[in-house]
Amino acid sequence: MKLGLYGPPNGGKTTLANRICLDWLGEEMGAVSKIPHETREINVKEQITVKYGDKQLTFNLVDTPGIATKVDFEDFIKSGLDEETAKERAKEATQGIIDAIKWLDDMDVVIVVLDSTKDPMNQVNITILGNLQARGIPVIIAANKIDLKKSNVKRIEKVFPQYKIVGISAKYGKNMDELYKALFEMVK
Amino acid sequence: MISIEFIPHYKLSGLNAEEKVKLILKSVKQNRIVLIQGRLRREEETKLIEQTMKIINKDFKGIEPAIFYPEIKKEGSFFKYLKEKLIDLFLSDRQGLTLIGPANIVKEIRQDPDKLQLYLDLNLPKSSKKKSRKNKKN
Repeated sequence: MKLGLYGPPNGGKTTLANRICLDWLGEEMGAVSKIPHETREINVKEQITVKYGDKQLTFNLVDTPGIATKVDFEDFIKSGLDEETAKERAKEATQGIIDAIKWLDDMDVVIVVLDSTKDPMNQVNITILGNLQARGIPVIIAANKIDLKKSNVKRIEKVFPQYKIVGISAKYGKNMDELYKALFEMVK
Repeated sequence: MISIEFIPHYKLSGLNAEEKVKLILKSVKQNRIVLIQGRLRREEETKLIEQTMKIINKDFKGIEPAIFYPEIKKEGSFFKYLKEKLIDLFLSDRQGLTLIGPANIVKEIRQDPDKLQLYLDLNLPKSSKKKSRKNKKN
């Protein structure tokens, strides 16, 4: 089974991937950064077995680059990168987005990771969720960053009432049990 | 000056996903905001993102899209709900509106069930700013 982590850039997909790997394998999966598009390639961690009560679930975890409709190298310069590095990052980011979309068809279950401090009502989120729904792929929304003051999980619930939404802090491992429970319920 | 191009449904209805996306991006690359009657299909939305990523360069930063879906409310009588569902079934992607702008002009589109708000970077050239100041004095 392939469990995909999808969402816009900087929602915390890799932080969640690291949390899941730390919880069940004892090691992290990838680097995280405040600069958008840190993950620009598909990363797969194979054979993760998650246990919940007396049940267990084994899957390959697929961490994908953040999906966006625009990539501006000047934004990376503003984040402190030099021009050449910024241009290279932009080029890799665009390819990463294409790859993430191509991998959609291969997923069995997807956790869409959204930053709960941000307005969820944007076309990227709607497109990702709509495409998963059209493909019949079960989806859980992880409303990440609930450790931050501006977090507003209810706003996500209001915009996407048809989905199972779990508020988590991937960084601090808060509410991960709820997420695992939702995952078991989704695949049973 | 900002140019808005309207594309009626019949202009896109005979095209496949690739042709539709090509037509849309051709206009957006010319710094036009495209307003489409109807909505793109799910697979066309992802095709639009994929194709946009392929043509991004230092001058073209991408797109800012918003698709406005008509909401079928379950309020009112059952027959009204059924009527709306049937209209949606037959008209399919003809319903709704799609707005796609170049990312260097359209910074953000905020969607609300009943309204769309566009945040534009007009970036007027200095000469036109001077002109408008002169006009204000007169």
